[in-house]
Amino acid sequence: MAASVIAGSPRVPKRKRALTHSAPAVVLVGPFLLVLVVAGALPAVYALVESLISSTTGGFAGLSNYLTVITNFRFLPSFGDVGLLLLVWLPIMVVGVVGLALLVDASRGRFGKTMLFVYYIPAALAGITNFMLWLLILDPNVSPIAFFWKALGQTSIDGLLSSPINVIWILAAMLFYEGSGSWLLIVLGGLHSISDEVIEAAEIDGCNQWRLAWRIKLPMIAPWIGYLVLMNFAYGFQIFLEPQLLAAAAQGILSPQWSPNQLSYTYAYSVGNTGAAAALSVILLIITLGLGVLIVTKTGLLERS
Amino acid sequence: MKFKLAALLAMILPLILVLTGGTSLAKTKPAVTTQSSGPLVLWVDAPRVSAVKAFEKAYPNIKVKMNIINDNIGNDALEGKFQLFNEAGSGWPDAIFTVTNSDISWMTSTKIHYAANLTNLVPKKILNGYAPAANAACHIDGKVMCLRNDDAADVLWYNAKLFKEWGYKVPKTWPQYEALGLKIAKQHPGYYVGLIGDDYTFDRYFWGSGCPANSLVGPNTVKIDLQSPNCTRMVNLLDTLLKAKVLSTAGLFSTASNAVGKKLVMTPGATWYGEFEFNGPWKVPAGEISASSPLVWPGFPYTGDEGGGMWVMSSHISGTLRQDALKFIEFVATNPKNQVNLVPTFPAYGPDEQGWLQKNVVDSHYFVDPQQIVKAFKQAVKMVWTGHPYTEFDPDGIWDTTVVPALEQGKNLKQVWPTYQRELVDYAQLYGYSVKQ
Amino acid sequence: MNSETTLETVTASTVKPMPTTKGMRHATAGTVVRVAVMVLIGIMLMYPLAGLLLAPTRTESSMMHGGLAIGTWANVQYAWRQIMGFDSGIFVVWMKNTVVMVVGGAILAIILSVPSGYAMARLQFRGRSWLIFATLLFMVMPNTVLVIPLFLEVATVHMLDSFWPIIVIYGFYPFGVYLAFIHFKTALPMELVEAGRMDGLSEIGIFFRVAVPLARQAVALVGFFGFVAGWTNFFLPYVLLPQTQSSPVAVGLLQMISSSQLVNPELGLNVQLYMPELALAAIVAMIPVMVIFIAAQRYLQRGAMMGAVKG
Repeated sequence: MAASVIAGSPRVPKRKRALTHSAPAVVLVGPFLLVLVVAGALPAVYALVESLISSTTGGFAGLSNYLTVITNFRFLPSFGDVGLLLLVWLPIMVVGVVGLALLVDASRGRFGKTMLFVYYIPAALAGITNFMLWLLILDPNVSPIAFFWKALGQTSIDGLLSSPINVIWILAAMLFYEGSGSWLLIVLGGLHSISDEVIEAAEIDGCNQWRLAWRIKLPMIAPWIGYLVLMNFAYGFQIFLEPQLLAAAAQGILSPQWSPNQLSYTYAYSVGNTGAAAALSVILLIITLGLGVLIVTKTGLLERS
Repeated sequence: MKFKLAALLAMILPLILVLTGGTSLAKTKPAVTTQSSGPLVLWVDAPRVSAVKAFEKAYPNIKVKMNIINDNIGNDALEGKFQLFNEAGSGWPDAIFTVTNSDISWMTSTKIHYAANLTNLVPKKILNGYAPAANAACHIDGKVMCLRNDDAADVLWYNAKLFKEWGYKVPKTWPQYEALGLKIAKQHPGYYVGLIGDDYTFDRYFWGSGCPANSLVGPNTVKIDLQSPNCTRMVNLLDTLLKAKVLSTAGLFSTASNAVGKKLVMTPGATWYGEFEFNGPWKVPAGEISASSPLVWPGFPYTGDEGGGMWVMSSHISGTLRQDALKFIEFVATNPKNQVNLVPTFPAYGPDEQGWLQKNVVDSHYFVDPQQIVKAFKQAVKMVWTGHPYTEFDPDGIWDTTVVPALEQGKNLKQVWPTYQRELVDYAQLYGYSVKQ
Repeated sequence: MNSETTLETVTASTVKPMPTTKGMRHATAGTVVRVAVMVLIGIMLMYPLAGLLLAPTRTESSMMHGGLAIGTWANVQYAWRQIMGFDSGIFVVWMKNTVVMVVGGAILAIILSVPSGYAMARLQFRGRSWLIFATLLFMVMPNTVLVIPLFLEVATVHMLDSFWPIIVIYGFYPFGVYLAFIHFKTALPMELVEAGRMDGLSEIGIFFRVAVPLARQAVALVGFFGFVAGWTNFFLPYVLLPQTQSSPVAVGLLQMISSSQLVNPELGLNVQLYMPELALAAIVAMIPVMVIFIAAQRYLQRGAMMGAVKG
């Protein structure tokens, strides 16, 4: 039943097109391509080149910059930190966002709109504003949830952040709080593009709301979910601002090289070894990209036509 | 559609080889451009704005362009900007105030090379106005690289009201401090004799003890030996007091310290504790707080220092611009119009001391026995141990990330000490120092 | 909100006619659970925010007990005076700066993303796969990789402290291209494109006459997300705009926080910046994002496009 419904959705016939549209494509894509080269490709190639150049001699360094960062004492611990964070946060994020999206999607009308607005509001606080909020939340002495911290026996922000596991949970909460709203909109966009006929047909077939969500809606928004996983993995894996600010909030109780990206930042801005910084960034990029390709091929993110 | 990653690499790799093989991309430092005219570009933190305003009033002919910086949170970022300015060959400020003292190490490093050598630029008369220990942090490899703004030497702060009530004698040495701490633990549980959970803790307790956490023993070579008796004597003392529950692990600036501050019977602390802790967030009423001369170890008459910013001038300027920048740092660091009238912290420049003490200690009506405080301050600035330099890795910051979490988890200092040693060595090496242990 | 009427409207609007009464009863029970869960989650998300929103109405000392409490409007006014007293009201300059660079960047992002997203979704051309791949690559590229080279690039053309490079970099928004790509791929039936071709329209003509009128949601999504991404970006403007006078509010806010007595009471600032004042600054800084959200909301919701697709 479900399969027949999906098959009925508008799809482009799978046949190779003989004609190509090079000229119009140049007109439509050209401006973006130009900016991509100036603001993306040039700096990226520069970074790649930088990772192979010695910061001290200025000559070709082979892979010695890579060796420098891999043998750094914070290299493995920082990957461990981020790995643990992803393990805790990513499932919460994906299940939470998709769950909220399905709930909102099932609530058409004013209630759904109102709740969407409510769920979105925290996203407006991303970055430094979010930091300000957490500065307030995490200090057991002024926090709106002071009762919660008291119940846990926490009396100071230092005490709270001195446990590495607490740090993971707090970062997960911060990331979910600031990120869920925007992703909710994106996944909802996917849900909205499912045509009404599909939903109606399913309902006539006797699908209840639960089955409708599980059997029809979820498979149809698989690309969006894949995208959600990919981008959030990339963000979490390359996390920088949140631990950096958290360290500032606790007056430096967190390592300034908590995440690999922070280590890269230390190399670039504090140690002054741009080669090592670039090498670490390239390592991060390759891992992110490897997983990206995996997700893209598994979910058919790009192959929907 | 298929991703041809191999094809992508095949395309990019030759490109890289072409680019790196040639000498064209080999790093050539941009020619150092020295600027000789234009407005005086000054970077200061928000509290130093009044100093710049006072300078503009005193020198109306010098055109000033002020930029407010945050040097406090993420000061890596400040260093990063200078890194980038160096690559670009322009953009540096003509003079800058740094509130994080370890900044002077990278400002004078060979790679950033920002700070100008002031040895022959600033008149001898002014340089001699500083007590040797007061401007020691600015003396790098025998050259004067900055002017100290304020002196944050450690004295012993104590609650004179409680001391009188309980009949205690003010300790003069660390062993006496320890003994009194234990006595307080027994007689008045719930009171404290110090805080050890912030990034000034090392400076407060270990600097004056002569603990080699980053002693420079050669060019780019540091000695890190936390097992030296100069360190372990303080570790043992603090662990004893920690066990007796008279030391708090709260940070100096945390809201958690507010409750502790009211219960402090005594604490070693910088000259600014009176106004900015006891009379600040700790809200201890007037007529209770006093200070006496620094605690010392028998036969080792030194103390530590907690902060005290610096004025640094650019090495990338010349001509009138350099003359103006010199006038500026001399004015803000030494002129009583700024140092006595405006600066809320104890001036490092000797001739300004008395005027400042009169205004901020004697006339303040907050302190008990102000004349004793005046004496203690004057004494303390001459007693700062000069064997603790500012290096690019910061024992204070590493204390925060390594020692404080362990203390919060209920460990004592002895247990975390090997970790602290290892982290110091790791960071020293990260910043390119050779390490002697 | 009255819970009874809420339940009614929700039920009426969401539950479509069911074939059996059994299904109806089941849906109603499910609806109650769903509404309860959604409201609960909403409260959990809003509670900490309420703490932030109420902070400016309280005094610094009254906040020392934690929890939620409403103070006075006079406190808000006091807090605002403190913010405006910081560096002669530079906060307003920061807000203006942010609006200029972020609006500029978002508009450029729309102009660049929508046509290229369309071309990638609906045209056949050589290098299409590569372009999609490159877009994806830049979407997941670490921020820090590009910032240093971008700084050098901008410094080479002597445009540090200018808003133009920031606008161009914000306009380079691969995520937006991707949103547009997905939009045209899923919401613009190939049949419409084919029909356009049958009518003898050129490919460019099809884009402007067929695709653009149906691209409202894509425009809204790209513009909205581009705006939010720019508004909350910290690192790029921090490096490319060294002068305080040209900072956006995200950079300025951090400066304000780090200058406050909260972080270092030793500093001796001319204004009182404690939790209530900083909270107020943060709230004011987020208002534009809320306004944009409300303005874009009807496009972010199920929009006119669906009707068009079906028609």
